[in-house]
Amino acid sequence: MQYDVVIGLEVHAELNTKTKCFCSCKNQYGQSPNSNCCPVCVGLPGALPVLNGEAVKKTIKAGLAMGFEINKTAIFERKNYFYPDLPKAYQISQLEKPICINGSLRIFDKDIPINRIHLEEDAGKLIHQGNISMIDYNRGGVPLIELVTDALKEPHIESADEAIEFLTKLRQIYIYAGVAECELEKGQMRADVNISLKPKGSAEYGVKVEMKNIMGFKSVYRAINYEINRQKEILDDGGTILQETRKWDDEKGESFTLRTKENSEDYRYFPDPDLIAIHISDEDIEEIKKSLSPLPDQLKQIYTSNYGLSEYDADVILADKKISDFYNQCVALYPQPKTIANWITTEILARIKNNEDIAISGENLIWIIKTVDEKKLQRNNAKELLSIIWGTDLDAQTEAKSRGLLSDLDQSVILGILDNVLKEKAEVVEQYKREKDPKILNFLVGQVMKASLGKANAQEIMQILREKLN
Amino acid sequence: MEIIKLSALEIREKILSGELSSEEVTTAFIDQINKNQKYNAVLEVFDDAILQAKTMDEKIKNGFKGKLAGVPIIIKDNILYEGKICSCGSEFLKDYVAQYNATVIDKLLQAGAVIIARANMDEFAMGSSTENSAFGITHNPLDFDRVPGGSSGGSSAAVALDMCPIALGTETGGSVRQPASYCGIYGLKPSYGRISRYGVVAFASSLDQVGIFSKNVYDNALMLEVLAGEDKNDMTCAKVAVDDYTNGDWSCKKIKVGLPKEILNLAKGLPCEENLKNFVKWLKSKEIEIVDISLPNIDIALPVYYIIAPAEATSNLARFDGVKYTSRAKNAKNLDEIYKMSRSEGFGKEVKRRIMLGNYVLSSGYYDAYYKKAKRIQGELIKQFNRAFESCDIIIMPTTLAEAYKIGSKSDNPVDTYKEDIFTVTANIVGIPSLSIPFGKGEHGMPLGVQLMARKFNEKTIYNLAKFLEEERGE
Amino acid sequence: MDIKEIEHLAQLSKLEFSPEEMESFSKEFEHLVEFADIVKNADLQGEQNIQTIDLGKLRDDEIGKSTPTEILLKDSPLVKQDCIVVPRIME
Repeated sequence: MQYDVVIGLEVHAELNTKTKCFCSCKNQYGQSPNSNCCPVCVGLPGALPVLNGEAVKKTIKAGLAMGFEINKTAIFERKNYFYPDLPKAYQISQLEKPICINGSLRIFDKDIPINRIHLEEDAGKLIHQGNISMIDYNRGGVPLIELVTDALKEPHIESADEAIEFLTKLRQIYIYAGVAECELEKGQMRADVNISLKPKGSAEYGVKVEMKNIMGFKSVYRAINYEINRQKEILDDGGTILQETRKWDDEKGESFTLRTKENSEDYRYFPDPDLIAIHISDEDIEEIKKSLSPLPDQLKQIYTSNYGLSEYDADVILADKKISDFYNQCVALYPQPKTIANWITTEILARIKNNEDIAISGENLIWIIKTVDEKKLQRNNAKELLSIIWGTDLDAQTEAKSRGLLSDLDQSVILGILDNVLKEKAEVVEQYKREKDPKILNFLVGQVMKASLGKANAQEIMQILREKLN
Repeated sequence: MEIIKLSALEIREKILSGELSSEEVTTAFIDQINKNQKYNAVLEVFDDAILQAKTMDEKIKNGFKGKLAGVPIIIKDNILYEGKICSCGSEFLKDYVAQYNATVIDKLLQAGAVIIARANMDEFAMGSSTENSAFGITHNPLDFDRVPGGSSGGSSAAVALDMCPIALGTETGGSVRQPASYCGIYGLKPSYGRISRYGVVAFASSLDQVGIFSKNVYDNALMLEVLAGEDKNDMTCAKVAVDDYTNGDWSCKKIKVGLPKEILNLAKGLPCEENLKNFVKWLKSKEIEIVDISLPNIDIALPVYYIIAPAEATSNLARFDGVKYTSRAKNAKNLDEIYKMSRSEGFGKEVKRRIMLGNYVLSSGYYDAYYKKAKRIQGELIKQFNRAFESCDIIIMPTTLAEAYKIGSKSDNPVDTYKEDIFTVTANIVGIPSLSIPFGKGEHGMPLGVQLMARKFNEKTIYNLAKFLEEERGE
Repeated sequence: MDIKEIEHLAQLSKLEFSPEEMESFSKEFEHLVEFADIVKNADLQGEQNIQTIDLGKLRDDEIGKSTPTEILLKDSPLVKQDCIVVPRIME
């Protein structure tokens, strides 16, 4: 039988604020256990949450980046349940009045409807060891935004490919908007997926199965395909799908039941009386809108239409915000976007290993590109220069000069060198005149270059030789 | 001169003038505590109290003139004082040592107060008799067989027994005013948001406030001056300027006092009816204008309270789970047993009852009908009070139905006990300040109280009238 | 009120009761629910009073002091390697 697949996503991303959501402890990954904590983080008696304004602003920013409406009054609720990583036995979250509502994200020419983005606090981390579990509350209270797609509205996310495209684009938007780092291996972006199947064309939705907290896009991809197949098989056999939450085991490549609908939690949400509702004015929204930097889709438009880059090059540059930032900076210094794109997609990307930083300043790179364009620096020398100053504080111009890499010899000197070479290699010259073999001409150019210690311009020498010998 | 009878103001003046030392004063009050242990008002005298007093004497010699310089204070056992046990009257927290100071503690210490002891209370402030403490019943200073009221019964009894001039309690639905009334002293519940709640163990966050017990109006106002004001650690603490409460206009001829007709109906046939009428008569005799006002739905404040308070309490008390800091059940073998056994062993009956009730009104399918509806009615009650305050400055009502009752005389149907709170919960639900002043006697000669309520953040108007009345009575 | 519902509430509350306690609780709960029903059945509508704070007045994103780990965990019943310990949780 043929089925329509309907996929809903709930995506959590940790905001990159300096401090936690409800206290002024550091929001920092990888610290020693329970060292970034205070009475609020551990839920000590008497401790009270104090909301971080920046967390709210970043949530608004994320929403504005995807055309969300912003609620003028945002309310925080308590989501009550017992779990050791949740020190107060409730999570401060948002239910009825989230900060952002009704947005969308475009993938493969479909605008996927998104229900909401709300702000909440992350839970602590559990470390399982033998027969004990150990609790580290450092992550507890880190601001977390949760985005929920609206799977009841069309168009739907219909395949694992589309889901991954959605996640990839969303990640890019968060990073470009500057609200989150989204480093997947640090768990800074995590997805819950729900999947239902219905007979092709049917208006009625099928039973939803949810898969929680899948780490990494590859796992999401595999988990979705696994679940689609699992449901297909059950339906093909005439079975019914159980409404449940499943856990994806990436090692085994399969999922298993975590809890069924009957055991679903009653979270007893109610407005957190320790917090006051947030009033967000039109002026607030305008101000945040103004501070929003261009997003990947807008930049791509500029790169391809205005700058004339190929789609491929534009994508390569946009894949990493720091590359695109660097590119934009360079273009601002020297308005030759295509040339710069060539340098960055080849020489620069080749030198960045393991997601390291770009170890050259825009000023230095532009000086090199410009000097090559002015024919005062040979491309080979330029590469050498790039390697010399990469990862150092050295100045390109100073180094080029002191290392004699510039093509700055007088025309008369170069002509003198050329004449010498023609004299010394008289036999070869004769041979060329007879055979007109371009290889011989190249050999002669090489000899001149060698004698000029690489400072001559090979193309110019070629030109002069041709004129002289033909 | 008997030190323990002195007011806070007098103590400060005598210490600053060198007539007394903080050490002498503190010693005298601690002696008084030790002599009256049978009342079980105090759970612990802090072993560094005398040392604190000596340090204060040094500071005063060097020119320190804090508003409470050298004045001994007792705090309720649910206010965190760094390094001291804070048990909330509960077995669950009997060994819990506070890691940090509540904002009110910092303010007390900055003002030069010497914090000498922590007082008994109903477990987690749930109750109105101090019979619900895990550490024994507190007795009424005026009649050993009667309750002192609650939940801040220990603090109230301590002031009435001259163990300190001023004590701190906490209020959620009358826990300061009711015991003040039963013990014959002054008890203030400030406006919601007037005093920081940071470091005060929460019962119902939207209703909780620290309250003040004193033997006279001035001391009460003085303490509020010290404690009031915004706090960066408490978002619900108001950014509203603090009045100069001790520097009032004590002549109150222009104050209009509102008498709600619905209150007279609720009081009908009860000892408090006669007392309220006497109070009105007396006010009139002092040429204070009485206006009739109406609070049409005031009777529903009580059930509204018994929905909102348990709902918030359920969530606030969930953090006590045996995992992080409370005592963990010894026989628990897995996580769920840690939760269930620790909580079942740790909490007393009344606390369990309210946790269950709170979960009932919040649980799926009931939330809208109970909690949400209660919050909407709360909004309506606030409007009704605002309307009433258009025609008067102070609203009066009794504090309690009758005088303090006998220990153990109430316990079978919890709702009957809850109904005792009918006059006090309103101020918490509406968020306005209310001071219980001693006025009149019950049929067994125990004290009664009357509440003076004002618009939100208008504590000063209350103190003005209370001070005037205090002087008129020649106290 | 039937025992099943009381059991459900006990589960939500993470509390255990003996059968006798259950019995007396269910009786008490009749009274409590009856009392709460006054609100449920009240012919009174109102609007919830919502206090707000302006976005600009919220806390600035500036790092403050955290509590040293040994102080933070001093009241904890079981600690190992600076972590609070519970029996192994089956996910």
